[in-house]
Amino acid sequence: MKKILIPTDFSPESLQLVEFALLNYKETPLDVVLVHGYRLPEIYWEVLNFSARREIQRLSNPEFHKTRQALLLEHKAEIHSIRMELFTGNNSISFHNFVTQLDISDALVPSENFLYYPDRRSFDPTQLIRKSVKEVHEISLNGKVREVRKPQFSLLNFFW
Amino acid sequence: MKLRNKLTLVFVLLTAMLQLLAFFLIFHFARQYTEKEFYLRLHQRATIAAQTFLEEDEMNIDIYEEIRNIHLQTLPGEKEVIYPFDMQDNPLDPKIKSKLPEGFIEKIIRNEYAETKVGDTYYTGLFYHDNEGDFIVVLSARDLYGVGKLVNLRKILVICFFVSLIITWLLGRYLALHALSPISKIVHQVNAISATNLHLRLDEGKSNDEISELAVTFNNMLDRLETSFELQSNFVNNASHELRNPLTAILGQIEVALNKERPAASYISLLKGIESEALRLDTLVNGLLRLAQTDYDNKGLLVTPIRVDEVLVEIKKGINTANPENQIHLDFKDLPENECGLIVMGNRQLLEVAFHNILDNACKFSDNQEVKVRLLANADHLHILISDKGIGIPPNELKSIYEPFFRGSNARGIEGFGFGLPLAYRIVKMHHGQLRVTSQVGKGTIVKIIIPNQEKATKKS
Repeated sequence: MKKILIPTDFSPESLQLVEFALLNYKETPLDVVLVHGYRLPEIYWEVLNFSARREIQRLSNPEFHKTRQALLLEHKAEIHSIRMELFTGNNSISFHNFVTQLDISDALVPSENFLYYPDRRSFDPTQLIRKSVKEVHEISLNGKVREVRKPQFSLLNFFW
Repeated sequence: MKLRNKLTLVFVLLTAMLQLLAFFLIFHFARQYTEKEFYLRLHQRATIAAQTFLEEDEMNIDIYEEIRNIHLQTLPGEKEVIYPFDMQDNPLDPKIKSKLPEGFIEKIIRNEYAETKVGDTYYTGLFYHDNEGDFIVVLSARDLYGVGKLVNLRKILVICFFVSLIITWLLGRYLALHALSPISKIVHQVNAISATNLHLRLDEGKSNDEISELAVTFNNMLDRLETSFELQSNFVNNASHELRNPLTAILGQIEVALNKERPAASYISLLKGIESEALRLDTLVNGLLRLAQTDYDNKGLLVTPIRVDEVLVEIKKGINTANPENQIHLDFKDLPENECGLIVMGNRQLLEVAFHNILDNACKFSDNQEVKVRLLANADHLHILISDKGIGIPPNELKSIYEPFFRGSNARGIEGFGFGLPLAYRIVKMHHGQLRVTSQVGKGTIVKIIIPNQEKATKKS
């Protein structure tokens, strides 16, 4: 059994990385840990009421869960589990602790900016993974075109 | 109207409306406050007047007159009138009543105090009880100072409004020009791009605003356009190349045969060579025809219920005959209990071609290493997963693999024409399915086909 860390933005497209993990670890069944960078709220009351499960539910959509279930079904023999974790730290030391706690030695990251983090609290943990995990596989997704609309605030929206 | 002028106009109109509202509120409250203040003044004066005239026995009238002249002064148009009033014996003279605003006296009697305004004259009335009886004290005056102040305020507000309107217009124009200049730049750059210089790209800028998003979108569109232009020209090049090769070989062999008289055995060998090249040409032309037929046109297609597991077993048998060294493993461990989940509505012949092409590719590109085929089903769809340990597809070529005649840069030494996968892709699309390829160079390829099952397909239609 191999535990492998993969960054996610909770979009169904991001789960393609899990399939690349299957190509890279053919012989061993995998325990996939999807990690999403998330800044904790500043307000004391919100910190007290913070729930990682609830935030994951908020950030992910039904399509993501459907694709995840389909992956588990399709690769029953190769994938033991796919769990989701929020990394709420802000530096490489805390990420190192996070990785140690989860007992992870392998990771798989996209080599280009493939993931997209629309929530203002979310961030891409790819750089931290590169620094803290021993064995990191870079996956080039050059051919994959992701068209994402950025929900941006603009004064011009008032005019039309 | 140009967008620049439209923006400026909207900006000026919005600001003008807000200013009008603000100025109107300022003027309204100022007028209300001035009136309130003046009524208060009249009330105070009426009280003093009543006390002075009616309580002469208690207060020195000379002192009051002096105080009034020195400190209080008279207001413009000030009139003080005191009427003795007795509810039963001495009702008010109708002549006096007619001089006052209508209903004013009644209001004073009812509320013991009343105020009103007729034209520019303000009236305040008091009901005064004294030891000598009841009296009505009415005081009227004009608020010249207040009106003067209000006129002045109005003038200031009107001037401010027009001055700010001009400033807003200038500012709005500057902002609109500034905001739209990148768009003019993009228009200029896009105009410079034509079919001959499709490699040109727009300047995306460093900021992360809507304009750079527009430039990125344009550039993505240009990328797609350029790719499709390239593919189109490549298709013609590749097709003519592929067709010419066997023809050249045939012509060459015929030329050799006609060159001089030969023994029968060498004619047979030459004819065999010609036959193999002609067969190759036949395969190619058939493939092209099939590709043309399946080009998103599924009219007149014979659609029947098909059990996918049976199709896969048959294809495996076929491949076993043609290529005994293959290592295709069919994994049917996760088949649903209900066999209806395994049935899809489709054209058997086409689906066989699609699965055959993919399985054949998997064997071909992995040099007959192990190929796993897994079939599973959920409530609506059938999933077919084909994974191999082959050479893989370079990431930058993944987007072109569905184009006819495209061949991966690492597949040069492997025989093929490059329309197996495109054909399979089109057939799966015709069956309302999805075909997805995940591949890494040197690691292998996973092809995933998802096709709606019979139940879902019937519901859809």
